[in-house]
Amino acid sequence: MQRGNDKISTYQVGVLVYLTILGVGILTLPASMAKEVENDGWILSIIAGIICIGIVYIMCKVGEKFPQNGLVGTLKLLFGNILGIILAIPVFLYFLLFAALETRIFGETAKIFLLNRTPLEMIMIPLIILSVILARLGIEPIVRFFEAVTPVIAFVLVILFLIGLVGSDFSNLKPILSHDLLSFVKGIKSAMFAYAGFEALLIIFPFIKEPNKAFKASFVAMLLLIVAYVITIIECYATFGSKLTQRFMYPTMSMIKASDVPGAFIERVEGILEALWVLFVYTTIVSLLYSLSVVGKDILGHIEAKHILIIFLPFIYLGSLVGDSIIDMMKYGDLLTNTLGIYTIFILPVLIFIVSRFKKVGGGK
Amino acid sequence: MKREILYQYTPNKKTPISTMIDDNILSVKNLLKDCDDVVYRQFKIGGDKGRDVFLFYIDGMADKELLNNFVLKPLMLMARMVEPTFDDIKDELYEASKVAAMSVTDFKENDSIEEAVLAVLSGDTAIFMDGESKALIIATKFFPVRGVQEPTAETVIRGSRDGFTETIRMNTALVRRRIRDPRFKIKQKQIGVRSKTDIAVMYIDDIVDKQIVDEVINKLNGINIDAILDSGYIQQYLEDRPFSLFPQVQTTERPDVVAAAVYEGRVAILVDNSPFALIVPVTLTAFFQSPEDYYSRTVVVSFVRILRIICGGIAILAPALYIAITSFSPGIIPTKLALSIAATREGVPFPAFIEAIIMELTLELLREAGVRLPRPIGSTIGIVGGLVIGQAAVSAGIVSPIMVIVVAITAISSFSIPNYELSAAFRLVRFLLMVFAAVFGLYGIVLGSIIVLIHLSNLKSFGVPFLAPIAPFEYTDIKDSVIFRAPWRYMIKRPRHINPKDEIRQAGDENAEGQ
Repeated sequence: MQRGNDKISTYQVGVLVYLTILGVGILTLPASMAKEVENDGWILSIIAGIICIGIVYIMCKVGEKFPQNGLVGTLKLLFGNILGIILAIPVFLYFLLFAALETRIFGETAKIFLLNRTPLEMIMIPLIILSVILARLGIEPIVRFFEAVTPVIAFVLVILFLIGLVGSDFSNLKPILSHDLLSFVKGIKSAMFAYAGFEALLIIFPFIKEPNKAFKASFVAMLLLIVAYVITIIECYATFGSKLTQRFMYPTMSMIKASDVPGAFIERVEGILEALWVLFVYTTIVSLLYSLSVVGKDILGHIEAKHILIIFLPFIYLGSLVGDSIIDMMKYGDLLTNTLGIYTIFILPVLIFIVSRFKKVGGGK
Repeated sequence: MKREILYQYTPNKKTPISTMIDDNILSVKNLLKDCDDVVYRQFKIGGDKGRDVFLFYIDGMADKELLNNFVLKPLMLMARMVEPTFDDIKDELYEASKVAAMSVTDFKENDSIEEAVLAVLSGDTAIFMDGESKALIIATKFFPVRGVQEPTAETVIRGSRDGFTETIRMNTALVRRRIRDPRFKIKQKQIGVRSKTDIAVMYIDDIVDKQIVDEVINKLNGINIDAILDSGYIQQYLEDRPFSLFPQVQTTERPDVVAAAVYEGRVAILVDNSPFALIVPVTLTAFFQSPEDYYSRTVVVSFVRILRIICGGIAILAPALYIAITSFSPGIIPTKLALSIAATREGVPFPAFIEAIIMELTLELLREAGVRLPRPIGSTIGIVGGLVIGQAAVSAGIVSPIMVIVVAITAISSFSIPNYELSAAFRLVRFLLMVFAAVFGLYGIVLGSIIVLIHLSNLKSFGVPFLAPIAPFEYTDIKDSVIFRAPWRYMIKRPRHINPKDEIRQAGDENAEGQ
């Protein structure tokens, strides 16, 4: 066991990756998949997951090569100080806006399923403040928190999957593979962004105790995620059919609502699930904010990571207020993933990977 | 501004013992002026022309029988009757009386007046001899003590019945009886400028993580207070976060708990005059465990542990859930139940939050009154309380019957948590969650739980994360954790989260582990 030296174990890396990715995505995922390829949504999700594992592999290779530098340090090493910082700024913005988007989507769902009369701002402000409080404490308390909520998360997921089985008709899944390759290619982007969050790996690498085992942990985490996503999508399709699924805003919640568990003590499970969903979202936001603070510290220099969050707290809040309705917000979300998202998740890791192959610099092994 | 305790005493000031006995008598009597419980005795060895001897002790703290029969009698009477006579060994009298005359097992030598006085104040007897610059200290501690009794706060059905007393010597003996190992160390020191309270730090040298011992010793050395009256004083110096709701030091009255902790690689601290031992480092799971857990059979224990966790959950959440469900989301519970709750609440003039606060505060009042009252009257409180939170409050229309049930379940659940300090912490957390539930409903309960969990994740007890072995997760330690205890034959290793130097508890074939 380690004591007090900002290092996290392999198991903790897995938990961190898993809980960072698991957020509001799973609530909307079946609908967006159904829109792209209807019944083949779960296959698309598996393909996207495998591609993401590939990117995680690249990230881990880069991380192993520069285990102590961190993202900004690596960029500075490869591209020089100024260009390195310029390349890192989009990542910073991405984390900030992603956290804001996550908060907003959660706020909207909470308003629908839990607190109909509470103003949206009052739902989001405590969540942002609590996220900042935990993110400020540093990596060790964060992962300990994550580990502590893992049993609860697992319990919620199992309950979700079991309830989803009620009233599902698996003949709804037919026909399979009725779409051509082109529609798969078109849909892959939105399928991949359901897995967004693993880019935090880029940031946390300096804190990993055994960097060479990071990929193993993240691989298992990604695999479990693919399983969770596929089960959710399949259950949604089996309950509603893919045609109906695309019409829902939050099909996962609707599925719970539609499933009437016989003999259950609790009548409206979706209310309790939505309340517990706070944990899913909270862990995601904390992880994003922590990544934000580390990147911000490295860009600005001389400022402690925890102060960065206080400085940018208002911006996170303002970011979460963009757009009048959830439809507007989703548009901004698409814009974010199309630009900064693709840059952070795909272009940057590959760029670093390629450049580090050619440029013989840096420590590592 | 630097604060200083004006009173200076040993070991800061040392007056050497003079060879002139009269000087010593004078300075001792000067130091102990107006202390009327001190007994002085001056006599001569070897008849009228013999050597002057002076002894003093505190009446009531020293064993007079022992002094009379084994100190005064040999020196005053027998010395004149046996060979070699007094005249033969005039010069080596001090050595002779030390080695041959006095038949007591335990004595020490001192060479300053203050140290001698301190020893006397702790119950020993000091002897000055004319012409010697040393004082003989005879261990004559003998004062009224409470005998070993069954501990009141931690009762078990299965397990030993002896509990610590107020005497540190008896307490260390109770632990030593369970650990016959020379590597079991009992390091003693005195803390408190005036009280000079004995503190014993106990650990097994080749198991414990040295960093923990060092940290304990460091923290003890940092204490500069006039008096330590109870281990509660020390506990508050040992905790890193004194304002935290959660205790970061475990207290126990049971020597078997201390022995078990020491065997696991923890450090135990005993304080004189206190029947409560302190154990560090401690984790949240330890507070959910009862010593009985380790003596009873696995399946039963695991069931009881799960039960305790559920009770902990109820103790924290029940009133908050009541508030959240009745005032925010009544749709969650079955319609019939929701209707019947609404029907019973119809006559209640308060919102659910006020109703819950009234009842919970009443419960707290009853509990506190029950503890403070003398025992014969204590049961009256129970009856009165039962009437108040029972029938009367409902028929007066102040609270709904459901609320009475909620309060009763909360109370019973919080009493089933084995550790008193933790259940006290839980009571306060309950109020926090009630406030959050009143503002945000179910969402608020989760937010409140997040706050508590953030604090717990950040808390450490002597370098060990408070939530270990759940977070950080430690696979081997799950064998003995919150919801499960493996049979003893499978608990091969000591808990790893405490970081013991020697992890193996049971020798044997590696392959046999999985059987």
